[in-house]
Amino acid sequence: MSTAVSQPPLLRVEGLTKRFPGVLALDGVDFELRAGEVHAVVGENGAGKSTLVKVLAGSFRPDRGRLFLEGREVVIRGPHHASVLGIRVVFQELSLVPQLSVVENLFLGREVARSGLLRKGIMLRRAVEALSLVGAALDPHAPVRELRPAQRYLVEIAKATLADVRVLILDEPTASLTAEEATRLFELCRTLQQSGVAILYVTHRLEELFAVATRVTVLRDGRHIVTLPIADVDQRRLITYMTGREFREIFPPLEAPRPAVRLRVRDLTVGGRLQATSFDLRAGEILGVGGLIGSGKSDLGRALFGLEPEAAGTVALDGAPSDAHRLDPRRLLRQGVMYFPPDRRKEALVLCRSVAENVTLAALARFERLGLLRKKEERRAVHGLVGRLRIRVPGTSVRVQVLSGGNQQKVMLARGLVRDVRVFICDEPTQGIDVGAKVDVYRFIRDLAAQGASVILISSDTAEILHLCHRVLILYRGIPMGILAGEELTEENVVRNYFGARLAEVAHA
Amino acid sequence: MREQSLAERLGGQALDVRVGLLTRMLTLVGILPILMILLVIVFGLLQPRFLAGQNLYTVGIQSVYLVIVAVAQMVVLLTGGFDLSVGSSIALTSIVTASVVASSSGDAGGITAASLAGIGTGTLIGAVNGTVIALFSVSPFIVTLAMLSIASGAALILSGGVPVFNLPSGFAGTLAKGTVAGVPVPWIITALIILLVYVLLSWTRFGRYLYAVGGNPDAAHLSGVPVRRCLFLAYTLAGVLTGMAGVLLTARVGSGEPNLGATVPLESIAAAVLGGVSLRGGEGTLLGAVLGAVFLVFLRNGMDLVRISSYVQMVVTGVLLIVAIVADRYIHGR
Repeated sequence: MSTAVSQPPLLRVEGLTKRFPGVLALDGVDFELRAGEVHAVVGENGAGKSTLVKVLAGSFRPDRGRLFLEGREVVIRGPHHASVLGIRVVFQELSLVPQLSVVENLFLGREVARSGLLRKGIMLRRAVEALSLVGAALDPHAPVRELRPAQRYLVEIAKATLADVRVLILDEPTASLTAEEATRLFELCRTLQQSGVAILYVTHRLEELFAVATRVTVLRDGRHIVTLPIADVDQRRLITYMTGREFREIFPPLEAPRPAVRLRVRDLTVGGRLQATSFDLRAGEILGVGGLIGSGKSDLGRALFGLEPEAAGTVALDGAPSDAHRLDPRRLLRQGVMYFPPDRRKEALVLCRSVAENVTLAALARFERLGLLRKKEERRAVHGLVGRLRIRVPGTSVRVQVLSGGNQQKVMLARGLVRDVRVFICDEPTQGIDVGAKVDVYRFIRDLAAQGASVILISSDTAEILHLCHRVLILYRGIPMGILAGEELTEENVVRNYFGARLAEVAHA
Repeated sequence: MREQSLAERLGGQALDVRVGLLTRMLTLVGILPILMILLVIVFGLLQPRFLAGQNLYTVGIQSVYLVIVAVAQMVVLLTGGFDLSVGSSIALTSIVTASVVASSSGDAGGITAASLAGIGTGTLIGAVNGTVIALFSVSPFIVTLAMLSIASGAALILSGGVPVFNLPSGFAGTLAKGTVAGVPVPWIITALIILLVYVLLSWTRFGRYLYAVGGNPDAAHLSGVPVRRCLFLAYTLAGVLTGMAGVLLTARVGSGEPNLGATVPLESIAAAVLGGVSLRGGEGTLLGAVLGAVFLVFLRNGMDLVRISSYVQMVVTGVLLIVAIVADRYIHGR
């Protein structure tokens, strides 16, 4: 790292400012990127990360500020010009054509041809080279639609490396990857880094910074807050920089659960994806469910809400047992169980409808008299919840579509407060939302438990598994590894169980 | 991503500021008002009779049939489907109604029986559509296309391919030309239908559920909405309304016609979409669908007055549908 310091920066921006009507998205940001570093940029939504990326990618022209590439001032005229200069962005939303093969995608728009005929042999050879560089063991002729998200992402990176790339910008690269795939991506970053590429790594997930980044820059409200070598920070300090809040405020101590058992699950199985899992959930308890992608943790949540026809076993709610395959969402809702899926936009929200309609969708009967809706009362209830959950909206009649991820998430969670819900099943409630909104969601969940509700928190965020749960059930490839609580609930134990190392004694609730 | 973050920081108002004036206007009112103004100006200048009271009255009477079917169409469009069988449903309704009324003396009992038979026919067609679509999760396109053929064939079989003539004069006298306190009966019926559907869509759980099912069926299911039941009821309701339109239309033409309503599927979809009802479901207002239908009839009338051939009119209707769909995409985004 000391050698990197002596080199002139590959890319430098000075006083970068971008104003949108009513908001200063970037406010005099100074920033530099050195050859051969992985430079992480973190910040809440709205901090200016995306705007910075889009300015570097040539999608936006800055209002003020200068940009230097290897010491020479440049003006990026557009996305194409950016890639000519060697700056390439791999976005979260992938730009591959699903129907075309891997090779065809890699060379899309810059096919190698002679006299108008494609030189497929050359393209294939270069494709194989690029794919092996990024460590993707793929059939280059396979159509992209048959690839898993992780493989597609690698193809995107391979596509970038085919051009003469000097600055590679990765925007939320691990959003759709499993832990193992992410680990491989980090290795790839290091390989590229050694070849002198500068990587700008934009992310929400703080824990992965420590595995991949050499330096980190924190942005907040469009301003540059700090740039530090990764060795000089820890997660708690980063969170403090990003939010301006202390770690203690984010994860205050939990209240103890109550003695009454609310939900008793016995030998729950879901096809081949979840093996006999048993646990008790008490009133006022937050039970974490952890595990990697494919561990069966999502199947557990879906099965408990009657969404998995293959489910078997017994689920007793307040002492009344029923067969797992007989569970039905409508009846469970009536009994006070509500499920919040991981993909709020796809599964939970009606994006084209208003905040109010989304909040009350599961509880309309409450606002009904003589078959007609009492809209005034509905509006009043929704207004109260918007305030209580700190949902930032100009009004309750705006479409959910226009809200940020964090606010959408809160709209979904608000549903649980409109009717009498005593068991909350939350799958990845903080996925893809900024730290500020996370803090609000954590408070929401803690408050629920404090008021006696039971929460099943399915999550791949280690921090919330460790600090927001009374006990944690860990699954590995569909096998329950045991339940961690109290002193056993340490980061080391959690991660070890993620990878299948069984605890000496399997705790039973 | 960027827009969301801006929206959050400004509490959601940033977006509104940033979009252009034209888009804002379109988002607010849709393309219909603009087309409406163009229509009045163009045909008003070409043919002064266009805006005369008598002509407006005629258009008002002519509109009701398409208005009712457009409302029916809108109900299923909201769920994210559509109904191509509305035209042949009208044809079959027409034959059934005419046959029943022709065999009666044309008294109140006969007219009532014929009307109920007609509405029943429409309801049955809608219920079959709804059952197949809801139970087997099949594409509404195929189901209602098949139903188009079935109902059309049934109308031709029942009638032997010839119109049912010699309807008692009381039938048309009541349902087409009759008035109550000076107000034409078709208007009264249409007004009642609109009122009923308005209450249903805006003030009941069922209405909310329709929008939710069309907007995101998975989300609706998770929220405890009986998705299949809603789909079934939507198509059935569309069938009831189409049956009503069929009965009224039969009274207006004065005979049972096996080819009645052939252009209605396209026109009703065009009307609803022009009125801002989204083809992807979940969005649209009743007022929009009604005005869309009135606009189309008004336009046809204008074109008739300046002697544009009906062949050209077909082309115009098709073009308008495409314009409306493109506008829908443009306004509501990807």
